[in-house]
Amino acid sequence: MEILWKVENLKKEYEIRTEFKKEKIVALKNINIEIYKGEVFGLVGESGSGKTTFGKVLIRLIEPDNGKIYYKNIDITDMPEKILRKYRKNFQIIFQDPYKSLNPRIRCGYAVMEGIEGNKKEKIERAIEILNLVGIKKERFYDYPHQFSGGERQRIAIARALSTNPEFIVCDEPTSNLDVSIQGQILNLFIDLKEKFNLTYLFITHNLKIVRFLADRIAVMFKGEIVETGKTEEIFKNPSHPYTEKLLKSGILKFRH
Amino acid sequence: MEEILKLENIYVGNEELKILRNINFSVKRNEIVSIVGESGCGKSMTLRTIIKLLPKNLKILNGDIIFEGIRIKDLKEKEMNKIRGEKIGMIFQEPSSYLNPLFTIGNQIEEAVRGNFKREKRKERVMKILKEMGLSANVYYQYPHQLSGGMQQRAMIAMALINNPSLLLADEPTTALDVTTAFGIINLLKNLVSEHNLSILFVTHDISLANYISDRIIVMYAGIIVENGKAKEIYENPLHPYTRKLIECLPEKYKKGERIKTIEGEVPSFKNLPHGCPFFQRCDFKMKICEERIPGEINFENRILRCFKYGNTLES
Amino acid sequence: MRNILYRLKRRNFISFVSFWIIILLYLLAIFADFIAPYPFNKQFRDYPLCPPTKIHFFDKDRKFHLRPFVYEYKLVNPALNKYEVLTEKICPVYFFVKGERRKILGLFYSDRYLFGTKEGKIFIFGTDIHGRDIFSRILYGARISLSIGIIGVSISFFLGFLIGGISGYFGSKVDNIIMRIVEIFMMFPSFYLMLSLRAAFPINLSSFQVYLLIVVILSLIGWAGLARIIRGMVLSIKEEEYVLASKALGIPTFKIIFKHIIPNTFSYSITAITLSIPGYILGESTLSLLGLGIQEPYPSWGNMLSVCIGNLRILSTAPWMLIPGFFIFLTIISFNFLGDGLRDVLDPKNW
Repeated sequence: MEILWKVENLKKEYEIRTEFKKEKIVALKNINIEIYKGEVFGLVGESGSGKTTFGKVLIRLIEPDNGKIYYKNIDITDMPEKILRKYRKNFQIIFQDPYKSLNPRIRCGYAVMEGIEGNKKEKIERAIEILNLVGIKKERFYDYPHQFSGGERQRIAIARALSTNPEFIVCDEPTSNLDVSIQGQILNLFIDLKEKFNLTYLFITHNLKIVRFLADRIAVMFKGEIVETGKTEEIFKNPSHPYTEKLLKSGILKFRH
Repeated sequence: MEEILKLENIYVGNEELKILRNINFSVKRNEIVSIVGESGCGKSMTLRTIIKLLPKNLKILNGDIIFEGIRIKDLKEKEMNKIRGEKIGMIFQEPSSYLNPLFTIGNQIEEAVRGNFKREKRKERVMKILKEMGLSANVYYQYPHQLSGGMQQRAMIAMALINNPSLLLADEPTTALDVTTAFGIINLLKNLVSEHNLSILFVTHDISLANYISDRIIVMYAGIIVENGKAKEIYENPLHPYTRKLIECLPEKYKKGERIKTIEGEVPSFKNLPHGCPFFQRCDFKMKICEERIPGEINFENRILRCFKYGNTLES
Repeated sequence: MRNILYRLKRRNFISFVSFWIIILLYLLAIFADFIAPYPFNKQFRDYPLCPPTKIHFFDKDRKFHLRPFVYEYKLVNPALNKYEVLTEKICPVYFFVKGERRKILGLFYSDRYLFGTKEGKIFIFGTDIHGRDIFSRILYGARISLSIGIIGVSISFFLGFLIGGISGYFGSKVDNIIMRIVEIFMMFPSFYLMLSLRAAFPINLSSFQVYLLIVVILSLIGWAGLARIIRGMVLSIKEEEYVLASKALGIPTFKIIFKHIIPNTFSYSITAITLSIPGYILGESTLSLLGLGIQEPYPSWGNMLSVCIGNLRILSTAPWMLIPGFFIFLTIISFNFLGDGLRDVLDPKNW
């Protein structure tokens, strides 16, 4: 299996300043992860576990404090932004809140066009093509985000992520803010796109039911550390860490134990 | 068993919009009933109707609400205020928005205590209920921002239950919480039912959660009740096409590699309600009559349904 | 733009009205040469402190005249400032009347004015102590007061934007240093800072120089507040997810700043600017009131009020001298209402 990402000893700390004292919050303590090409890697945890931070640090939207990040064996940890930019099109991100992840002043078609190269005509054509793929009709190309529903906005965000022909996408809780029926549509879309474009996903979520359905391997995070990693079914059937057990019990899983 | 709450033919809205239509259901003593539906179906509005805290532009157009034998629909504000907080308690989704950041928890819960009690007696009561909620005595002196989300929610529940109401209205109290924390709160609520002689009307969008906690489930769609029956039965054998789809949407029902069966389209907005059954557009079993008329309530296999598939009663 | 006006009219009618009042005031200022019946410095020695001329349609015999007319005023008691109205002579008001030759907008000569009289005088707001028509002076004064507001704010805005934007985007050390400098500027009480800066220059400068000086002083004081606002906005917008998404797409930094960050500051900054214009107008008025701004004979609403200070005689016998104050009030309150309405309308949450 080709290793797409290798993360070694990754650390990230935040400083929170209140009126009286400075507090250090360790978001990522010592993360070691490998992600293989073609898989859906689920990152499970509750709020404060650091899972969202990891997603952003991995693709260097936030800078790590320590440790190494390798993309296809290339060390991108300290790569200067100018050079890194050329690699960025290979790894994209989709955020949780469809109401915040699109610039409210930019029309949906233009948002998707942003990452495409070429002359204006080519860009528009390609953007329409991708929007079509995710289920947004071309008549809506010039609409603003607030004219779309939550599920539709998330589709636009997915289209934007696809616009650079990436091979890897960080999906940060992409369905948490959506209704159950829309969630199903979006999850199906993720699976279809994965097959069509041979994508690899880092799927970050707190929803155990979704991760069991989607992920090949999962890592469980708790307070900045990875407590358990392994194949999805094995972890669900035989959790080895007490936190994982607690998590599974709370998940109120009913079907297929 | 005794009914403590009954809604009869409730219509809520104004001249332009009808948000709730012909809502009929009851809650018995010591029963946990969940109202399940997606965003925009009217479930939160139902709770607000019961406690009569509707937004200014909406009113109860028709029907009645009977709480512990008293018709409360036309009750004056002063009388209703006696019921709120004392006989009916309510908890909400985001505890941090509903707790005043300027006052301690103890102060806020004490404020909710009804009746004339001496300072010490009040404090005693508050301490007692904090303990019951699984919070340490220290919490009495702490401010909301010093507590975690789960603890804040427990404090809110304490506030709602301090006067021993017989009905608790819960509007998605665990949606904003972590899985493990939520689990604790849900179990807490379950225990409170027997200990406090409480009934709970629990609103959620998560039908699996509803199944775990409740005795009965009421499914709502676009302002009407489409199915009402025993929780377990609905979860394992949903009858209404919408409920079926809701269950079918759950990812836990599928193996890896399969596609989730979804409902095409979106929930209709209240400004554009269709003529007949609101689910008509997205239904797999639609018939001609569904487009024209709203189905009436039918009793089918111990369940109340509104669907022409199961019978031909029209809306009265 | 049309969209914004429409929304303004619907949501906040007062601010819609205010918008048009402001437009009207600016038009009056721009076309002062044409609208003012008399030059701003023409002294009518026979008419000091003349009360506002009443416009009549009915004469003393109750006869209706289609064309409005005025009567002549004659000074009968200079000490008590009493005027007698001569009702025998009817002096009609003409439109597009011929009068003295004047330069319009500094470009061409004309001798036609919007309205005026051939005989008698029409002092709509009365005259001042030198017999100068107050209405005309108000129109010319509007030029000073209103333009200083706009120009001063533009300079401040540009400075505030540039510095606030850099501070907000690059953060850490750069942000720290810049913000401390901004705070030093904001620390001075603006009124006294303004006086001191003015006093640092010779008192007797030509009016044009004084004008420039006032603009520069006001801008130097005003940019700091705007810079802080912009910096705060940039800081928060920078962390928004759509900005991160653009970074992930590989968009270069400056493109992100211009395409995503700056446009999203407009809603707030346009409002902040509209609400700060009154400050500039007041600043100029205050300086002129104190004799440190625009000098005689050039009119400014501020210096027109300076004669009234402490002068009970004028206030009791010639209250129309306070009219420039009303105009200052009207302008400021209109900008305030407009800014309020704009803030409402430009917030994306309200779309």
